Amino acid sequence: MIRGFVLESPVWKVLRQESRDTVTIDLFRYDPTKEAKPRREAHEIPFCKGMSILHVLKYVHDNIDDSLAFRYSCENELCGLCGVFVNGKPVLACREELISNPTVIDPLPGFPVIRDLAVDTSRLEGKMEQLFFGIHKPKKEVSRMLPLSAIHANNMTACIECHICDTVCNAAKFSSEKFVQPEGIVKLINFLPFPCNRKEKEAIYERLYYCTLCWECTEVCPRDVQITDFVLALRNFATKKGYFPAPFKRIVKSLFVTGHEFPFTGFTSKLRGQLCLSEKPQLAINVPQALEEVQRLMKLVGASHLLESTEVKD
Amino acid sequence: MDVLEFDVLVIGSGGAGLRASIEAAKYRLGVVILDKSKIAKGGATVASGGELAAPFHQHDSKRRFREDITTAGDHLNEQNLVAVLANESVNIAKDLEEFGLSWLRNSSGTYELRRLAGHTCPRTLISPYGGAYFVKVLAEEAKRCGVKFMEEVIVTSLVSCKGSVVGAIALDIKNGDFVVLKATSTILATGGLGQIYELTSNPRGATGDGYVLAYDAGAELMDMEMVQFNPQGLVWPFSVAGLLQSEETRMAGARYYNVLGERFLSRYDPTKMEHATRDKLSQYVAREIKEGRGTKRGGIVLDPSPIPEEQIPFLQKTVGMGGRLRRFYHFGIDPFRDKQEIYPSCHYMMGGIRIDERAESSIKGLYACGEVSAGVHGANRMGSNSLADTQVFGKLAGMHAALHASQNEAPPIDMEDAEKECERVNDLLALGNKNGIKPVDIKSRIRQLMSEYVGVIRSGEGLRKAIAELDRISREDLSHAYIACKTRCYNNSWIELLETCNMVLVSKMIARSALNRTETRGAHYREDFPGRDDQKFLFHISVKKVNNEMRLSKLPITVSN
Repeated sequence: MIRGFVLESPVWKVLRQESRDTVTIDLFRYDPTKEAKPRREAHEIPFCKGMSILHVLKYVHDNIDDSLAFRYSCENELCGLCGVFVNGKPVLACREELISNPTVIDPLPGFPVIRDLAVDTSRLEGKMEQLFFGIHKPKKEVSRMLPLSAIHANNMTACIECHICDTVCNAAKFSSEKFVQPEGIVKLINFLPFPCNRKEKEAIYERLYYCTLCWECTEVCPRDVQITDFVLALRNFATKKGYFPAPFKRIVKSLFVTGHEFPFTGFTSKLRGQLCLSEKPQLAINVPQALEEVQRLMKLVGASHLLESTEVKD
Repeated sequence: MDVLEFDVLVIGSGGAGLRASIEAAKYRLGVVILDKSKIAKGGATVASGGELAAPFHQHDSKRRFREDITTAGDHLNEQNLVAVLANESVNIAKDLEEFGLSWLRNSSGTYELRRLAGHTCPRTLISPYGGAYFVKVLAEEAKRCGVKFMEEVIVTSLVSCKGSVVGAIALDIKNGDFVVLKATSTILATGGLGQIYELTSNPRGATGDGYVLAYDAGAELMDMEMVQFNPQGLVWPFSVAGLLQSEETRMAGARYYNVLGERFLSRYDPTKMEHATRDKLSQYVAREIKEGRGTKRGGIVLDPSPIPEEQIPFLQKTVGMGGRLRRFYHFGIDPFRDKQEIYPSCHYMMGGIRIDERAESSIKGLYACGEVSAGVHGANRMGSNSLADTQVFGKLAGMHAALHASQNEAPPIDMEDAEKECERVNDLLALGNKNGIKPVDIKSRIRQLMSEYVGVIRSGEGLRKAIAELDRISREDLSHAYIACKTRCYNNSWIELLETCNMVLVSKMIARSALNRTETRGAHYREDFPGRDDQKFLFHISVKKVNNEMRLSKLPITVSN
């Protein structure tokens, strides 16, 4: 035996030197092949400033229980494998600093658990595959389907496919299989240099309108991808190309005619009366000059023109 | 046990593997790519800078590129491979643009070319958002070409029949089932071995699996002693430990200090100081620490404060917030102002499977490309040449593997041998007693041993100690390994034990080759033989399995193309 082997890697040696405190970690453990239901495990581990959640998981794996299953690879927020749910928030383990005591670590929600913190994302990935229908090998002469400026301005190429945005998407929770979730929207950039026929284009455009613009995906994105801004940019682009679904046309029409997307009905007015509020507040629907201004604005940006010229598609 | 049949099997899904699969799929063959992590996520390309060298500059030429590679590689390069790399890199850069990657361009519309250390001309193309975007583009292209993906599947051994490789036996990590993959051609693109060292910039999966698979199949490996270290691996601050500080920091004026506050480089290289090449700086830093003038955390101090104020915005844009060092800011560290501690970190493996200019190994039906192959970089690699290597040789391997597959028929696989292999892997999980050693502890033993004796500084005595201890580990520790958790479903420790077996063997290859090369060349530094000896050592050291024993021999360098 050479030089009295210390079975400890230098990282943990430094951690022990620097550590002045401990932190309690509440870990999710589950082996679906052996256990009926998940259990929780608490571990006390040394704490040092600047520790990430990945340090925690690696510490538990190396020093306490090497059977803990979790994914990671690059440790530099580039591979997108280490997504976990920490204190109720989806994060990349390597990027999230350990700050709270105790810290609760769960697998990413919305996916079946393979074991412990490793989840099965194949269903989502299968859904993504749908995006590739009919797109064959690239041809020499390329046609740009999506505007380059929208892609670069919104950081779209920075996406690392970590699935974190998908766990918070409200639209995906309630909408049909057709919606491919925020990550699917980002994947649209893959269509950038390749030819597409009209039917394919429409199917892609349709997906944009499932988004409810709640901005949650943009907020949690570890790479600052401006997903919602991208959706808006693409909607504008699709509209200019003549794709404009019926429900949205109705809303725009209502905005033009009444000054409101969802105009006041008798019921709302009555309700306001009961609450001792003015039944006719100073809003566009009651102020002709304001409505005029709305209409002028809509004409200015071309929305009204669109209303008159395009046929409503269903 | 499922038996799946393909024409071309690609193992490893980094830059090289994906490029090979795309090329092979163009021949309308059944191509499968598999990875022990997720496709396009586990390799080293993801975490790279996305920089590719190609002679696009108006004053540049293929000939000049070749000369640079050979000079940097200390003349240990295979000239036929260097010629291929220099000739093809322009074409593959254009191929990538066709796949959907847009190289950064300057305002006049031409490529933005940068000059890295060793290159005599600006030659480096840059992919926006680095390697993460680079592999994503390749993965999408592979999907479009109809390549079948198999994720989280680890190959435990290659199957040989009548002297050629005819497929592989793999273990599905997700559920513990075995799969027999039958293929006429097999491409190894498994990447490097950084994980055998304590400090490395390589990802978790870089445990040297490909070298061992090829070695066990009887292929010839070479230059195994040539492991590149980058001097600027961080050991402190804790939150960024293990990452690399960028080379541009020291080029811009950052200084190295030892624990006594001396600029110790003035003793080793008073003219170049911090601007010396990677291999030399690694040796100086390691020697300083070995002589006891390192910090208590085992590093030396990197002080970036002398960097002039006007350079900071540019650095922040290219490598800081907009680049690889993003993570620093997230943890409240300014990489260009705060003091850090560094230690040489294992970065790249120049050696590996011996290939010819068709990327074929010495075994029929087995191809290799990327970091796992050897020859093109010689004894030292220049920055941004590794991505060029993955793409050029990935393409070649894919093409020739496809041609081989379309002209030949794979002989049947002996299922009895396959059963035996499954039994071996199953035994790793089932056997051992409670007092045994955890795989993670064996791993950490190997790392400590390799870092101490087979790291940057090597000596005959240390190498002999390391070999003896590695022999002991494979004889005693590995047979006493014990996995407490017996589940077959996503069992990390089981996979780790498989990797550990590979790590021991590949460590032995490195240590034995290093012991045989009694000179200093490129990344290989012998304390007891500090000079280059062209009389005796202008050849490769090859490693091959002969009669179940590791045999080392001399191999001449190919000098003509």
